[in-house]
Amino acid sequence: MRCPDRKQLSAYVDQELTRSEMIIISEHIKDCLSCRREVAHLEKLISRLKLLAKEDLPIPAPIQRRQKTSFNWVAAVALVVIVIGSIMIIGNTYETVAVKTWPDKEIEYYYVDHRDYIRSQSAYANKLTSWE
Amino acid sequence: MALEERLADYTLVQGLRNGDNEAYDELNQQYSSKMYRLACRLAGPEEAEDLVQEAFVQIYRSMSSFRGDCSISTWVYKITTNVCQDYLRRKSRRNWRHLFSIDWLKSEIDKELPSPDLEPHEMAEIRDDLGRLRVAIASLPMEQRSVLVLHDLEQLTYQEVADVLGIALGTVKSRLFYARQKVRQIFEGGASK
Repeated sequence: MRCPDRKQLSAYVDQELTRSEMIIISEHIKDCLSCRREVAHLEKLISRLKLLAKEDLPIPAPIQRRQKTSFNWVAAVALVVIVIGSIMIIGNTYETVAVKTWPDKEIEYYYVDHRDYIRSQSAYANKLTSWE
Repeated sequence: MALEERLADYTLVQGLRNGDNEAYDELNQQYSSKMYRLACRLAGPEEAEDLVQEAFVQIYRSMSSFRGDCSISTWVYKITTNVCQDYLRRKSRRNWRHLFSIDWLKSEIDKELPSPDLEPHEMAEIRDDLGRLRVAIASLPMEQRSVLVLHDLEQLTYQEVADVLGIALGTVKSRLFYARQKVRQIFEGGASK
C-alpha cells in the first residue's frame, strides 16, 4: 500500500478519520517505518501541546471586577432612589412637625403641598407669618 | 451535543434573555478564564483583558440572536475568536513579536507544570520544550494559529473548530497540518541544537 498523505496521518493521530480509514492507516503503519516515525513525532508534539494546554493562565482580577461592576448598576440606582426617598420623607416629616407647632392652623397647613415649599420658600414663609 | 448539555445551555440562555443576574454570573464563571486564555494565545497578553471585555459585550448584545444551532461553548469561542481576529486585522502591521513579548513567554515557562512526579532534569527539558512551543505558536499566521490553538490547546474537535471559525472540515484538517509542520520545524530545530 502507498503511504497515506501526511495530512491524513495528522488526522489519524487526532482520531478524526472514518473508522475504515483509521483501520487502513493503522494496518499500514505496522509495516511502514517512515509513517511510524511520522506518527511518533506527531504524538510527541501533541503530548507537549497538551501539557501547554494544561498550563495555568489565571484570569486577572480586573476582568472579574469589571464584570461585577456592570451588574452593580442596579444596586447603585437602588441606593440613589433610597437616598432621594429618605430626603423627601425627612422633608415631609419636618413639615408635619412644623405644622403641629402652630395651634389652630393645623388643618390648613396640612394641605400645603411640600413641593410649593421647595419652589418658593419665601412665599411659603410669608404665608406662615400671615397665619400668626 | 448531549441532552444534559443542551438542557443546561437552554436554561442558561433563557436566564440570560430574561436578564437574570445568576445566569450572567454563571456565564462569567464558566467562560471568563477560557476566553482570557484563548485571547492571550491568539492575540497576546497585552490586550487580552480588553478583548475579553469586548467579547462579553458582544455576547450579551447578541444573546437574542442565539438560535441554539451549536453549544454555548462553541458560540462563546466563536465570538471571542472573532473579536481577537478583528483586533489582529486592525493591528496587521504589527508582527507577532509585538503581540507576544519575550517577557510574557518566559514568565509562563517559569510556572509550575502539572507533572510533579518528574525528575528535575525532565522538568527542565519540558519547560524548555514548552518555551519553544510557545514561541512557535506565536509566530504562526493568524489562520493557522487559530486552528492550532482551538484544537490542540482548547481541545475542540475538528467539527467544533470548523463551526467556530466558519470554515470547512477539510480546511481545518489542512490548516492544522500546516500549523503543526511549522511548529515542528521550530520545536525539533530547537531540540536538535
